Amino acid sequence: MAGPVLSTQEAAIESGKTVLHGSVTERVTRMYAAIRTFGPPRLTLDRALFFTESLRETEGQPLVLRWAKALKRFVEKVPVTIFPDELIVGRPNTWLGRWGIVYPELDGSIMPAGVEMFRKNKGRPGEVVVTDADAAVIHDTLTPFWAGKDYATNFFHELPEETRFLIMGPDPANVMLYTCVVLCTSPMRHSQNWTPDFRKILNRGVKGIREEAQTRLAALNDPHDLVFKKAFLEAVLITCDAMTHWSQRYAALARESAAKEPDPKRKEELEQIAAICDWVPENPARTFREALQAQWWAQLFNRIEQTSSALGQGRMDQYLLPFYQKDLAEGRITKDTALELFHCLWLQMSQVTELKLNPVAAAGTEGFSQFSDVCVGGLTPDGNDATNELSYLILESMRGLQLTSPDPCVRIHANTPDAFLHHVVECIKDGKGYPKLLNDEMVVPFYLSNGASLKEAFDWHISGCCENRLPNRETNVTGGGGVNYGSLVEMTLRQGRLKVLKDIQFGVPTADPRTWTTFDEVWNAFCAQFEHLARHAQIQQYVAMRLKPRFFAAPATSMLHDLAMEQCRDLHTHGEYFEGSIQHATFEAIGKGTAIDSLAAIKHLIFDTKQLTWDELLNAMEANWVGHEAVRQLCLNSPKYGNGIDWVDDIGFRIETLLLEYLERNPQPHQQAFLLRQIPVTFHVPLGKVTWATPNGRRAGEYLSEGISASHGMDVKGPTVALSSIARGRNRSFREKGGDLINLKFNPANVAGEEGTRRLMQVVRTWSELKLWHVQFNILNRATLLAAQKDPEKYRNLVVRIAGYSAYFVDLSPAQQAEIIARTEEHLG
Amino acid sequence: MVLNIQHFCTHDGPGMRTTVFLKGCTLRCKWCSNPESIHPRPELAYNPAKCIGRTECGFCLPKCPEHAIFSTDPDLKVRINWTLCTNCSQCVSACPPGALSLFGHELTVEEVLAEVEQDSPFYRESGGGITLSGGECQLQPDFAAALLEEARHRGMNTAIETAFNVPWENVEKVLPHVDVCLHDHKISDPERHRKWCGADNRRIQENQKRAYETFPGVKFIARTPLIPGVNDDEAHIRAVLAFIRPHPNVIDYELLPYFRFGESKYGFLGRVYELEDFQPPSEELLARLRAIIDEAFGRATAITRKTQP
Repeated sequence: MAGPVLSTQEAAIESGKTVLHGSVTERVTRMYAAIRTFGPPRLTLDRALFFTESLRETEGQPLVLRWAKALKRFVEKVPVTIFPDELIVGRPNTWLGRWGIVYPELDGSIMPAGVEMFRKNKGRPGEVVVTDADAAVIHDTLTPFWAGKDYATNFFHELPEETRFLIMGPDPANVMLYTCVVLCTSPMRHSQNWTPDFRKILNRGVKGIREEAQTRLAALNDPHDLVFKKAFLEAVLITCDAMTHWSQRYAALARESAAKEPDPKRKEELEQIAAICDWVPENPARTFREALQAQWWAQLFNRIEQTSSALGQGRMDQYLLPFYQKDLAEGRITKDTALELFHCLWLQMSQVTELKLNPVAAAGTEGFSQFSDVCVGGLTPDGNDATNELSYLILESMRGLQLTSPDPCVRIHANTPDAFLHHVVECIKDGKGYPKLLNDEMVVPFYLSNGASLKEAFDWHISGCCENRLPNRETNVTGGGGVNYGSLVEMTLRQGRLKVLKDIQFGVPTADPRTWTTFDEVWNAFCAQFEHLARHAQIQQYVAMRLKPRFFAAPATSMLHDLAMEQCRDLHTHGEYFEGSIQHATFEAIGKGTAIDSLAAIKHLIFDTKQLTWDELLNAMEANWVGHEAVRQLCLNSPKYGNGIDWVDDIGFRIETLLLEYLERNPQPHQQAFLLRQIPVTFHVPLGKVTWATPNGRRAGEYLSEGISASHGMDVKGPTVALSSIARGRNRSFREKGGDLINLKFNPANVAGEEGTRRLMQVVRTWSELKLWHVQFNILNRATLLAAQKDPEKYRNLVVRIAGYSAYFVDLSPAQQAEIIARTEEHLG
Repeated sequence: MVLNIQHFCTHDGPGMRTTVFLKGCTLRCKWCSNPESIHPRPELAYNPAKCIGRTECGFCLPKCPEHAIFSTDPDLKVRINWTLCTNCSQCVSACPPGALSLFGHELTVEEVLAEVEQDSPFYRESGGGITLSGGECQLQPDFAAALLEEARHRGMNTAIETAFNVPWENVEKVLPHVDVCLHDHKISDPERHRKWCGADNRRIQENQKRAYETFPGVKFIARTPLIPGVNDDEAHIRAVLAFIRPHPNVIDYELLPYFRFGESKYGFLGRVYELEDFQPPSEELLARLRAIIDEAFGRATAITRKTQP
């Protein structure tokens, strides 16, 4: 019999090919090989060093000005390097390979521990290279300055005692190990996921922005404005000059290298690089290649300035189209040369990694996820289909190589052309997990209900796993808080205590379940536990919003935002409302399927069918099921979410309504919403580690369910029923209903051939009609994943889908690898 | 008597289908991949892999009135004495891991459609619908007709999979409610048909021909489950083509290559699978036979396999 059907990616690995599809030039293949053989990411410290040096000298000045000066110092002193074959240039490091920046002002106090963690992972997934010299710099220079001064440490100190206790546990000295019960992400990143308006750099150039700042500065006259706005505008001027300066240093280097270059072809390329870097980003881009180079400068500069964990690249098929069409018409490029330029940009982006010093943060964002979303498709601002030739070309350019970044994302709507959807599905079938799909039919109404105009709502951008942004309207840049659904279940059943925290009183001391005679009592205790945790999740959020303007500024990000420029204010000051903005704070909840299945098992086994007594269930869970396998089996075989069982799915709806009603009752000032988001990244793994056995039959320490998907392997009726069930478990009638994530896994044999493509297209169409928010697919053989665990070298380029992003499988921890393998494999008849 | 409802099937008619398997069959094909669909009454099935053993559990042992369940093996798992088992199903509800289960449930039209309609958003996109399969779905003609009629009222496309080895009056009840009829041409020769399928094909062929003529609005798709050494010869394919081609409403002829799908289920039912040495037909053979069909229809046919309950 023939072997298993392989996805394109699997077939390439088996036959030793690096190019999966179509036109990939030798230049690109060479660079790809060099980057992939470089190995694990390496820490790059120049940004930390030069920022520290500058910030030390500017103490006492307005923070936004200090940030601009630090950027200036960095671009003056960082080494400039151009590697052979590069066409798009610029990097904050000195090697061709993956790099990651540390930001000591963010969480410098834990740098030594973080570095130790990176080095301890040597030879294992999660390894980050830290040379002895780097370690010495951290130890001798960075840590002495930043210890106690960084944002994270101060954030924890500023938290009210009870909130701190819920986030960090009883030890007041702990600034690193989260309880993972009440969540907070502000200590892990300067900014919430962000998408800057890159069009400004491409169409106006840094010069245009500088002129605007200059004009505004000259017009300042009001005494209040001279005090509150002047520093921001001065910072913008310095930042603009810094961007230009960095690019011009590269121009100089390229010219110098060209003079010495013996190969006439490369000599010409270097001269072109020099000319391009002389022109952009200072001036508006004139060609497609200049537009790509300018875009890279802008995103790179954004990463030097701060980390937002997710830097959306915006609607590239829309804003690059004029450059592409003009060059094609005037004969400057062909489709193939455009593809090569895209590849050069993607390769630069593929070297960026987000390194998390905090072990919980690292476990929650495994695979060095950095969320460089490239958005294609969707609607134009006037509401028509936006698909264009670049939508196709961008996806095509992602198919050639096994890259984890950038992360392509397609906006789907009722009028997405079949031809484009066909192209999208073919790309998904390559088996690398992308593109992910987001649904205009859900997101447009979401923005309308939050005060956007129709034109704005049609023009939304993607940022992060499955979040979204209006780049000139939204202003919130503080990482969100949230709750662990697994802990909520455990606290409901343990009178507000948690087993891994040695049963200290943690939440509300609700009654002993043994006294409950109705399911309503279980539900009421669940609600009480939730309200308590939710309150503290919001409190930590306000502390972060109050504190951040003292610690962070972002002139380069702010100068690309209409409202920031109009009001001459840094975006990090959003704790005081930006007039005219939409300022969503976010509230995460992780492990929905685990909570639904647990409550359903209690309802079914204890109340409806009386197959178990409370004693039997609680004792079995207390023992982590050891010696109680029959009870665990009853729990495992109890009705589960994702199988079209109305009353079970209704529990999901009730849970979501509970959360949404709470958030509706407790908005931010100025009637700004807290958004509910159910996006796990990989946090469902560490959150599961702290959750004891749950009534769905899950063992202590096992991962929770991810996103709003059904629990692993528990949706047994196929993808149609799973999606319908998931749709029923959502409540989309609140403006607070933000992003939620769905993973589906198929065996390649089930979607093989043209017939399989059509079926997957139908699944996508129906998913869109069901008004779901997001969906993504893993199309791989289970055998491939098992083989990759055994032979990581052979499978070192194997890309898999995690949660709103893809990663190299071998970069994942064994626990995360197991989680991917355990996801339900859906079958098409 | 419904055996199973399978969602998201893609080979049992146009678009995405929800396939409802009815229990009970008049044939005994030796290659049958759904042995649990043959008998018209509920049957006990046992999957030892799921059994957690008499130390942790053993709840089924005292439940069996016939003492058909026992456990003597060192692995502590239970065993079934199939000759004693009366399919009373008392053990099933006592089995936490679901190792003991029942094949076959009495369901109403409403209950079946409530489950089937979970998929209705997907029919809209794909032009799919409900497919009745089996067993032999035309053995429950009143239920099948009521189900299909109501499904049509609810806007679904309707299909059946049938062997046609039933009284003509059954066909007369069912087919008026059918959009697509997938039907088998297993073996051409009546005696060999009897040998391999437990009954000859005279009534089958009569019904087929009469159905083609009586129901011109139904789209018929002929099928042959291709069993190596039994019916994978050119002569059979040509005989079927000669039989169906005069009828314009037989729109296609599909070959379903034999796979050993049902093997494990024989074990669950305590039965023996007789075709153990059989291998699926080769790709070359399939291609050659399909070329003959292509020629007869003047177009390509696709690789097809049947959905398993």
